[in-house]
Amino acid sequence: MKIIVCVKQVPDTETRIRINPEGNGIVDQDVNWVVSPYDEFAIEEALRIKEAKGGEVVLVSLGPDRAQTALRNGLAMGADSAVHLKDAAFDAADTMGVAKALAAAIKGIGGADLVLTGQQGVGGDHSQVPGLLAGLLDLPQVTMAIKIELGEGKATVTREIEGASEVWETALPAVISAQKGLNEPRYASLKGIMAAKKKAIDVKDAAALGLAAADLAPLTTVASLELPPARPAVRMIDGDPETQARELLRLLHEEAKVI
Amino acid sequence: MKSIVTFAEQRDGKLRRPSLEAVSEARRVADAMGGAQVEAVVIGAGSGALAAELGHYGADVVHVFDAAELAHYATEVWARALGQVIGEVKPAAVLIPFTAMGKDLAPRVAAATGAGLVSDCSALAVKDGKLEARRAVYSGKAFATVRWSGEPQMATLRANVFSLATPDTSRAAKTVARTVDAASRAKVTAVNAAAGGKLELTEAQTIVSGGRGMKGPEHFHLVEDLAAAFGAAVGASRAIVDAGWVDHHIQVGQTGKTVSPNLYIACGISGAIQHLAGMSSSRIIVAINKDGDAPIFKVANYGILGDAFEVMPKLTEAAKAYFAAKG
Amino acid sequence: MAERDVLETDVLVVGGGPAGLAAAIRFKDLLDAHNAKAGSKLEASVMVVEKAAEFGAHNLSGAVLDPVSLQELCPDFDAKNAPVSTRVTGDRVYFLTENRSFRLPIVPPPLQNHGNRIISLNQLVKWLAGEAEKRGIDLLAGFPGAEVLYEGDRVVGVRTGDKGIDKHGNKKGNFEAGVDLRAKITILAEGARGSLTKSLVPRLGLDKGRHPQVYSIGIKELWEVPKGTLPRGEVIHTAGFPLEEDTFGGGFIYGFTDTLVSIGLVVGLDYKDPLLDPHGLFQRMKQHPLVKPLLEKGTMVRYGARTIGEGGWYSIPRPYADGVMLIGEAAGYLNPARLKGVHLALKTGMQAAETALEALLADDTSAAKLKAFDDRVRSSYVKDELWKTRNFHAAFKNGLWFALPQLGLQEITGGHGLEDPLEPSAGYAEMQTLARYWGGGLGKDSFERPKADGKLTFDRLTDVYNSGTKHDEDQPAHLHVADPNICETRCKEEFGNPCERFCPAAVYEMVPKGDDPKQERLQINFSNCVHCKTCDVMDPYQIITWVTPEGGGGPRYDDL
Repeated sequence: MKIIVCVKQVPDTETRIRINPEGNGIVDQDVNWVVSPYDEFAIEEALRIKEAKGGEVVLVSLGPDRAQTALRNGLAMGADSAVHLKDAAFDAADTMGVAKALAAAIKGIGGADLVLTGQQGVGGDHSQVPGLLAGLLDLPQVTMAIKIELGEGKATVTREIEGASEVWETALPAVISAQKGLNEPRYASLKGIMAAKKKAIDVKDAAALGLAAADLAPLTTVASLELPPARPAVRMIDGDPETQARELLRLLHEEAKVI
Repeated sequence: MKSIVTFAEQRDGKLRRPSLEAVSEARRVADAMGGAQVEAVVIGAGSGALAAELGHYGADVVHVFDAAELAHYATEVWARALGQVIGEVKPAAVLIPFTAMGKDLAPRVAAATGAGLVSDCSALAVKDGKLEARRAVYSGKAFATVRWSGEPQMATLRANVFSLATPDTSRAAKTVARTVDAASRAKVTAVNAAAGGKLELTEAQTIVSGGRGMKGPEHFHLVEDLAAAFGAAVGASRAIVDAGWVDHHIQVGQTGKTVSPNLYIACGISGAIQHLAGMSSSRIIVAINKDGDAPIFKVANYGILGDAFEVMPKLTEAAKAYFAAKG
Repeated sequence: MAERDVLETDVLVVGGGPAGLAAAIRFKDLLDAHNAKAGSKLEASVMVVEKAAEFGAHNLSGAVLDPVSLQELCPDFDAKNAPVSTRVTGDRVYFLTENRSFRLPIVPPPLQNHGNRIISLNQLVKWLAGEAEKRGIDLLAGFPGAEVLYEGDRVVGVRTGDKGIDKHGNKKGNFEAGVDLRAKITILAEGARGSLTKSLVPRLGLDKGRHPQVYSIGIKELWEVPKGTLPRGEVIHTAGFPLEEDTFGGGFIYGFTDTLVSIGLVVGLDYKDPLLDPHGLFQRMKQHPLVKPLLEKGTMVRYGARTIGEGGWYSIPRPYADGVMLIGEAAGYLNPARLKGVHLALKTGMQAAETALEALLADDTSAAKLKAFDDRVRSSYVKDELWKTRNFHAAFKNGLWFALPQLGLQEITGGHGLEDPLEPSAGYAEMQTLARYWGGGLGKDSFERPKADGKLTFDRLTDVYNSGTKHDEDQPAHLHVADPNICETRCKEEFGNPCERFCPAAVYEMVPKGDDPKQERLQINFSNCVHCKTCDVMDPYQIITWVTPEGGGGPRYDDL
């Protein structure tokens, strides 16, 4: 069984965000970069499947040099090999460009029996790459999985939806994205880290993936990035507790429109 | 004529509220574009009955895929159906609610149609006839303004943010009955109602949190009761997690979670910077605290200065009544 | 239970600070040089384990670096862009009273910094880690040394901490047992009050005939200020306010870059007043008319705190035993008069590396062979410096005014002064009870901290936030209190729970116990801990033991 896991390196959710002088991105230097937590669920699941059924786990990540740290982390957890997609041409790519590059890389390594991803990359939070990837590879997809059971040539997947869960059956190969709750990722062991240092990371640029500039032209661009507006001054609600309760509900409904 | 396509999600023969928000927003966008047509797409067994309601909220045309084999959502089939309409109508924009289904469906449709997709938008504007979207990034610590370079401009819309249009029952939409190949490699085999499972904090639209002002674990049920009345997830400050009153899984801030729900109700939480960092990007914040100098009031939209033990039961009662009346 | 992994290495360095990394780098350089020569080759591996998630994240210092030993370690450090480019351009020393400042007409020789560099220690350590990585040294971040492995009295390595244990002590689903790292030579480089060093020194009797180590706590903030506020390279030291004359310590303010100012306060952890609050005093220091103008247009961006081993020469234990050497501040190689330890950390690291290679070549890692490390220290500038200042801290025993003439005499007599050696007592033993220091009538609420304004002055939690500290909440507290009963009864009565004040990170908190407001119990907010070790040092009953938390937890210092 060959499992490919797509991994993204993202800012730690506790990182303080500073806007760059161009006003369209964040200042990279102060950022503490980590593997997107949802991708860690995907890696863990891949490793568990490998341990149960045999096979290999290949990681793919797109990003600048620092993305290798994320790949090393996955290799230290136990993945077998890694592919790093790195090209200046990827810098301006949007989700579609990223998905195209990942799809090309997956085809380039001969496809897989299963492609696992996180259900979203923390920070950007687009939740697009799993679906785009499945579409581009023409594979069935099940997103936001909280349980995966593999059968012969198929998988039974439990997926979370609002107020309920769905059980899906999908043919393999397929793209499955991981939701929180799927598993508890392991720590990279000391031995794993030592072993990971010896594993090679295959670096591929756009040309090696057969992608031209036109393929990567973004369909969407961030025109500007701003810090959230200052919060308005608090509105204190007076009266006895019963009046306060009723007035608060009225304001939440009529003014804030959140209920 | 320009058109806006919108996807209306239905479950169990009912249109879900985020779908109605999307149609309402499509109407506003269409009007801002100088009178574009709103074309809604509804898919599912028995969905034909829902066309009229979509008309009330602003759809001009409703494309209906109503067949017995469309009983359960299937990504490939729904994407095929929506792609079919987009291919024919060639809309300027496609609006899809950012729900579990919309999240799953939209990228698949984008891949098939080559549309640029912007996820989880909290505002849309029309500038020079083109869309511009605003969306939260980095857990609400920044906001991006995003533009498209071509058409269709596809966007998924955050739930509970776009206001509902006032339904106009005299408005009638034209209905177009359509069919689609229902073959799919991935299928739903069962749907299980959540067994009263606890709402995941980071996913919740509403959070009710308690802090040291709750005085002891024996009073924490007041927080849970209030959360239940609002259909909210329960959160806690670090102080009471460390004190062992509640489980660390529900901690907000510091090593806990960063949340940005639509509504955050902080009860007896003074608002140490670690907590504020974990929740201050929530859209609306309510603070209930008896210390008027508490930092939580600096980030709150609404404040109640008072004893949480008196206010919370009243608020729980009133919320129960409110939501019961709303249905 | 899964079997514990065992990994073997020739040289194991515990602690990836300046001392540990210098040891690893020097060892590799010497080994490569040896193997480049004709003759017998030696295959030897060196590994560095560090508890922080990343190298440098737990390193904190003022800091003014004397580049002498960096020059020896990496002669081309400037060309290699070592982050030490801010040269000291001016030196000032002030004596402060509450509202006034008096500039000393001359800068006392130990405080003269011509030729030195103002640095961020964690930047330097990150750079050193990069240098180590380039040499192929195994760097393992996120792995604390949790216990020393012995065979008899011989040190044979270190066991790293377990991961994945919940707060009740049960194994979680992702439990990962610590690894036994077995080494021919173990080099302890944990920094001040290292938890392994603390247990190893008495066990092997290395402190026999030595003075107890005395410590200070250093509290530091980094401020972003408008350009032109303080010249880059300017060094200011202060004595006096906010400290009473019976308290050892002083302040520092460094122009780190054009727009970054490092500011901090060092307070001797042998103070007498049980109500003393180092963090509160630091807030007061910032309100002083000399200091406030430097900060009031700026923003505080980072915070950290760390203990400093200030005892000097007489407090350094025998720094070697069978299979083990102690380097840097773990042993106490710090010049208290110059307030500098980084250059000695680098130097003793290098000296240990030289000794380690010799020992491996001779296939003899016994104490007798490793004694060469101590010999190297004694025949180098490390001893010269520490010998001259051997009685520095002890001179303060009776307060600043008694210390000044003694220090003058020490300067003239090469460190001898009036009496040599001046014996210090353990710092915690100096703390007096409330009744003794204040007479009756004072309780723990008697000390008033400056009210935090959120701009110039901050409460502890805000500062902790700016230290980037985090720990997985679901693990056992790593601060062990042997008998919490003492906190609720004796300590409350006798000292007014000084842990609430000496901890600069709001870890210790007495909270109401039940409905009786007079009954309190100790709550340990371990997730705030910045790993400074002050509690382990200063607790008057010595019932607090700091152990390593799960690897990767702790502060995340940046530019500090």
